[in-house]
Amino acid sequence: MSNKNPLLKKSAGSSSKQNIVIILAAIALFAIFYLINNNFASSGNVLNMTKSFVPYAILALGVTFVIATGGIDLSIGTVCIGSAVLAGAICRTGVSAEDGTLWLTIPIILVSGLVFGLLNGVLVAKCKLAPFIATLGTMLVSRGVTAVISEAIRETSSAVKYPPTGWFQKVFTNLNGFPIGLVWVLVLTIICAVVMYKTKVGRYILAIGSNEEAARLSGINVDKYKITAYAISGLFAGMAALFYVAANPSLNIASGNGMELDAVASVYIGGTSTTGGSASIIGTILGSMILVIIRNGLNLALSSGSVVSATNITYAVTGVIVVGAVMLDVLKKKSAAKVKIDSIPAKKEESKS
Amino acid sequence: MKKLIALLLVLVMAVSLVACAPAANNDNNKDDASAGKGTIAVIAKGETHAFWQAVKAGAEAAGKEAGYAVTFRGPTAESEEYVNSQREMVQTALNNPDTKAIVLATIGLGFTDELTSAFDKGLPVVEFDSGLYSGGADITEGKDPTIGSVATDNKKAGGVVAENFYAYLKANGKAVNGFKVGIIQHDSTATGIDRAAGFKEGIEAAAKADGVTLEINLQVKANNAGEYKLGLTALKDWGAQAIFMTNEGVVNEVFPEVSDNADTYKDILFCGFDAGTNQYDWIKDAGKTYALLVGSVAQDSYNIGYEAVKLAISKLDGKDVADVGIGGQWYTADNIDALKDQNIFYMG
Amino acid sequence: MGETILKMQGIQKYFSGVHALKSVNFDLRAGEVHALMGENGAGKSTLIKVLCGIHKRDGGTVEYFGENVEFDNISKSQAAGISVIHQELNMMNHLTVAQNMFIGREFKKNGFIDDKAMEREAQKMFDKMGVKIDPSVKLGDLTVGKQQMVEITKAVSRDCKLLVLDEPTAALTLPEVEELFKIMRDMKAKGIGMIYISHRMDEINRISDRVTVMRDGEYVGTVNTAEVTKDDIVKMMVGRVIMGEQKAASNCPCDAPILLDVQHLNAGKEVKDVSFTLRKGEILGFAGLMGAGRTEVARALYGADHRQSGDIYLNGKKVKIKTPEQAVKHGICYLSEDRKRFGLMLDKSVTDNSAIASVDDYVTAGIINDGKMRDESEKANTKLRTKTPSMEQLLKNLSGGNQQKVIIARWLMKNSDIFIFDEPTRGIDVGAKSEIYHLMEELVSQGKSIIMISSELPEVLRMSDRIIVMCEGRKTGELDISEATQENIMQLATMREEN
Repeated sequence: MSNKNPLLKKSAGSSSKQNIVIILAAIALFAIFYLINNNFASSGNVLNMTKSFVPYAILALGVTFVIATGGIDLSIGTVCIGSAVLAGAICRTGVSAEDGTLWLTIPIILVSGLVFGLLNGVLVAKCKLAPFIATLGTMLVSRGVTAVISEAIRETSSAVKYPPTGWFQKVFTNLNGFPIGLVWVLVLTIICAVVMYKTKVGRYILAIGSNEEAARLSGINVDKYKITAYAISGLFAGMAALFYVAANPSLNIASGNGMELDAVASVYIGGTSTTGGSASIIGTILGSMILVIIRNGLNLALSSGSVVSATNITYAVTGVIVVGAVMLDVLKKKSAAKVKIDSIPAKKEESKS
Repeated sequence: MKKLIALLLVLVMAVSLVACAPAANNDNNKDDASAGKGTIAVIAKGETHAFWQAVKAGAEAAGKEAGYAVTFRGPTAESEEYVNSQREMVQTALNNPDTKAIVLATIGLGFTDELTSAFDKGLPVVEFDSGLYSGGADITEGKDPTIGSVATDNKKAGGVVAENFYAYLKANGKAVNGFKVGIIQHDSTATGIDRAAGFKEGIEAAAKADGVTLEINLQVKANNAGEYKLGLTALKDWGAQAIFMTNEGVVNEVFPEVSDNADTYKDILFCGFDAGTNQYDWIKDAGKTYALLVGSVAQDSYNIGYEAVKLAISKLDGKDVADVGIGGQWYTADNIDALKDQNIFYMG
Repeated sequence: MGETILKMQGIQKYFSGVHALKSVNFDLRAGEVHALMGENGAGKSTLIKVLCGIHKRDGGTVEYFGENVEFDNISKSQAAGISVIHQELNMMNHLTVAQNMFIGREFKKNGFIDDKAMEREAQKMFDKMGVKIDPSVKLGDLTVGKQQMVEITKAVSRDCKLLVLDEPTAALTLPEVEELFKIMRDMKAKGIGMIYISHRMDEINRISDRVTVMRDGEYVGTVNTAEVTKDDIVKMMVGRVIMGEQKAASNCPCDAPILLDVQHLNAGKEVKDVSFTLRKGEILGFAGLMGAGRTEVARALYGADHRQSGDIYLNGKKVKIKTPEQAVKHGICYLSEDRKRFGLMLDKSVTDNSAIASVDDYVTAGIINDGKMRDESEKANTKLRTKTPSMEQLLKNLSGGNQQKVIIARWLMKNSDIFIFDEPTRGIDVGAKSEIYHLMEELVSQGKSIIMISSELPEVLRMSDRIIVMCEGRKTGELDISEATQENIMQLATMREEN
């Protein structure tokens, strides 16, 4: 009980078992896929995996804060892509690094993400809309607004293009063959863990997710911290866009369709409670890792002439895992509730007096 | 304990799902690979459309002749949102040890690392159809794996339409001064521009040889629902006596309009590009119930696939290779069924 | 008294190794009201669940009308004529009374549900019971008391022979309790046996024939109500006498400075022009019936609900309190009657729950010092004698009394000056009650001030220095403890506005 390190303490709680199982599962899957196709572990393929892993992981990190409040953010996918489309249009980027002002896209993408996040926060906290509805609205609005602005600026609906090679890739995806995105994810994971477990923002967000009314009556400015959670989610959606664009330099508004669901799935797989109150940052990362391993592994495992689509099998597998993970959450709560009703008197006797 | 068991259960389910899916396909894989010399991976911009099916047939035929296995894959639709899934297909090909060459047409950017990897592995890449997106912007300097391209020469094919269509006009006494010819160009990409220009230049040149001057009206439209129809109406109001449609999409929008308002368009002569069910029905009608579709040029999809794989194999055999331009195939009511049997004309 | 209809003997129940029922005996005769008493967690609910088939027993016998039975589930026991009226009613508020009564056995005409016939039938049953309820209104529009009547009528309509009432009066007003008792007496006359679970001693005395007491899953004994006093029963429950006497005089000197002054508070329909003051070191009791507006006064004062008007002065200075955040900053805290909804974070640790209001104190350079936070929480909880295996224990694993202590710790750590206790001992077992009382006394001795809202008159009389009585949103009286009696409080509490 003298474990004073709260980062360890949090992950050593009820979610630790889940984390261990996820890690074991990841290793097992890695081994299976490696046996099926030795190229799975090749450096080229690891680079491929990180390219698709990084944007999802960052989206998932951000939305973990919203889910911790007991909410949901469905808009992150379209905010991510919409911000990239918007910035590309404003800065007039093109396939050549000399086209437009590439560096300027970074602040524009981040600000755009943050603005949509704040919009979600205000709709949920101040206007008291259900998070599902508010963020569904923002999902459609962000998609529509960014596309319209981009079309108006560029006078075409064709794809926005960023340079496919250059410093953007060196910074975000591939630094001379090194998957630099992983370093970013590591840094962001540490930041998120510190914010979630070691700062007031995280503590209050978890308190709100645990019991919003109790938090409010404890003198917490619930609205402010809810808005903060959605703002974090939006800002991370913007960050994810940088990595997405570096890996997919031509994109239209429909790109990355359904990203938000994969990100949310990662969070649930990672053991963050669907009703809020407890969150596992490490679990979120592990959850997105599992999804990417499965997706990429299946793709390699299938022969290239296969009639079966790896994407569709991935859907099915992801579905099973998400339902399983959430079922665990429910079981956990159920067994806890049982303990509370029936076995407390005896426990009380045993406890120190 | 219960939750651990539940978790393990879920894992077992997931892992078995994962495990059994590839198992079923591995046998498949082996059959293909046993073709001998290795695999040519063809990754197109689509897979299910009749056009791609014809390309696939050509590609497989070329592989069979030379003793190579051919795999053929393509994304759900030709849109940037599917770049991810197409990239995975390229990765699969790169990671398959049997792959000897890749035949590729991309739908977006983001293949830089894959192309570099192909170069490093010494896998030749043949561009086919529209080739690499954005003129090959993904290629890293000094690491270019592409060895050549095989594509329809759209300008040439447009010229084929012009030549045959003008011959028809002449035979029917319509090749006169001031004859009004309209063009509906499907979009402003190179494909659309080349087809329209090839047709325009070809028909003007043919007319000039006869000392005839035609009036030409070019309508450039974007690929949006209803826009092609507006182009048709505009040309009708202008008084067009003949109209050239640059792709199947235009035909698909124009045909219902023409057949529904048979009297309005009765006197206009049409010619088109590409193949498809609407083209087939229209041409087979032969001007009986509505305006006449004189003929069309079909892309020689079968040969695109065939030549692309052949080009790759030539390279593997150490021969010198050069770009191949495939002309179109003019078809009318008379030869359409014969071409259909040869897979050049397809119903989509 | 009739024949014995139920005989449970030597009932055993284990939950994952925990011995929850240790050879419990219980019997019920026809036409009898048999009270089942015991502190929270004594095993009353478990026994009832074994009876009606929610739990399977691990030992013992159940004889029902002379036959050995073991019900597999609720519908089996219901079919056998056993009905349970739960404290929290499980009914559908959006359906009408009649629809609720006949749910699952709707009347049909030509394949369609015949609402009119159901309403007629329901009306007949209400008339028989002497209850005035319109079967065509939505259930949610009725008071909790009336809803309970509906549920009882529903049970009777199912030809019920054994009725279990689990704390039925917890949410009822006095007149409603009277109506319930009348119906219970009618049912007695019809020979229906009733198991009555309640914490309210005076009710037990009035309505029950026998009392069975349980403690920590053990059967303590069964006595005839007429032959014992309240204290005897309490002794059986806790093994000691606890309820103290009324406070003789105020402990708070009348020249103590006025800390809080609330003027002309209006909030919604429930609070009408309420003014009062609170002195330093004083316990100010708020008495009144359910729905008198006491909780609403507290919430409006605390900024938890919007108020139309009203000024708040702290130490003579007017302060702006529009949100709980501002109230907390001014040293006011509120401990809700509904701890689960408004106070506890059940799936968080004791430390998290204790420190949530004072996180700011442990932040240096933006980072929370968890070690210090834990130590301070432990200090506060040790002072309050919170029983918990560790500071990391999740709050849901603590008993009601210890949960309440953790919330008190929360405000001790925040160093609040004014504690608003709303029903501080609701849902807390008798033993822990007196501890909470001691804590409150300790707080005022340290110069803190307390506003205590309570529906239990003995509690109000024991704890308060001064008492404010409310009725229907108005303040109807203010009594010094030396002049307060149960009688004059009740009089003020029922002083309705004349129209």
